[in-house]
Amino acid sequence: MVGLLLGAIGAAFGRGGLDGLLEGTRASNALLWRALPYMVLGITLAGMLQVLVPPRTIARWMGDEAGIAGLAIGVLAGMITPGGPYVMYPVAAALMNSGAGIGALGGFANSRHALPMQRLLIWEIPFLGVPFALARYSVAIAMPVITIVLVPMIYRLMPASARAARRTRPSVDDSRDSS
Amino acid sequence: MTLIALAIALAVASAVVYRRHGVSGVSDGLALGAGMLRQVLPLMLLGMVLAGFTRVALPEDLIGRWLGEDAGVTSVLLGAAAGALLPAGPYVMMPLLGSLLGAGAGVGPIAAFMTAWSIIPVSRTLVWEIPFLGGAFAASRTLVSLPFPFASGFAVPYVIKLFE
Repeated sequence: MVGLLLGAIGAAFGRGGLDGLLEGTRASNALLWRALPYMVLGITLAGMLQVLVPPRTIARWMGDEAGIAGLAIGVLAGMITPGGPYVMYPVAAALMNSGAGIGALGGFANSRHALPMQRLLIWEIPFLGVPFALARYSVAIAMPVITIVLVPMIYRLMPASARAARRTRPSVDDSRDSS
Repeated sequence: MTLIALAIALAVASAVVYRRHGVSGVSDGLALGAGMLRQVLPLMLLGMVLAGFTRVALPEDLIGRWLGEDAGVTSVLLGAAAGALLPAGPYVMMPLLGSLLGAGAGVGPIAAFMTAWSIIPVSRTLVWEIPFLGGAFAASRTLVSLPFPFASGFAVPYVIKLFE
């Protein structure tokens, strides 16, 4: 991450000198202030949803024990989730904390990236035309399917410490399981 | 989704939490949100600095030149690489891709670009995915998704004939 950061800063300097650095700082700052209100609202929304939908329910619908149905729920939820990353990632993290399976989460993420209905209707069809949009969409249907099969297998190969880091969040684990 | 729609969704969710669980439910929801924010913020800030500088290092007209002329396999590879690297929302990207497609760029490179931009974007992975879902999940999903932009770049030019 730090290497990438230094690389990007170096490239910006290479292209624009000191002005490039200034412009990069300005662009980063603009990104932060544009994203911050969305981020705070999105994260708070995810907090409320975690109170409303108890972890037991999430685990039952999207946990590994939910099988194929859980994977399908993940993929369908990804297709219809509106909004930008400021909605999707807090919701996905809340699902992860509440016991959703890695396959269902992978399906959710990749169908949100490859098959979002909102982007298809608002952006792809108007700007790229119906033939391109439909052709890309048809090809992309395979992507979440491959994802739900392969991501859990690869995830299991990841170091146990990296996997455990996300499953235990003290501030979240004590959410009301009893409601 | 605009900020207003998001605010309305939050207001509705908070009202439902209040009706079902009272003030303690609302404060639990806020605490869960605050905990998540505290956890993701440091990594997100680093990621945003990276995205800001990448935007300066890789301006959009450069991408236009990369994709402008269709050079077969090379263009698909360039399209996928450019899509993964260029941080921008759909409001920048879709008009750009639309104008490139209209100006004669190949269907394959544009499909590869769009797929890489949506499924393996470097800046979104660093700003959002790793902070919220952790490195193990992000790495697994990215590894599985790496071939998708190329598959899209090679398959969409054939599939599009069915829809024309």
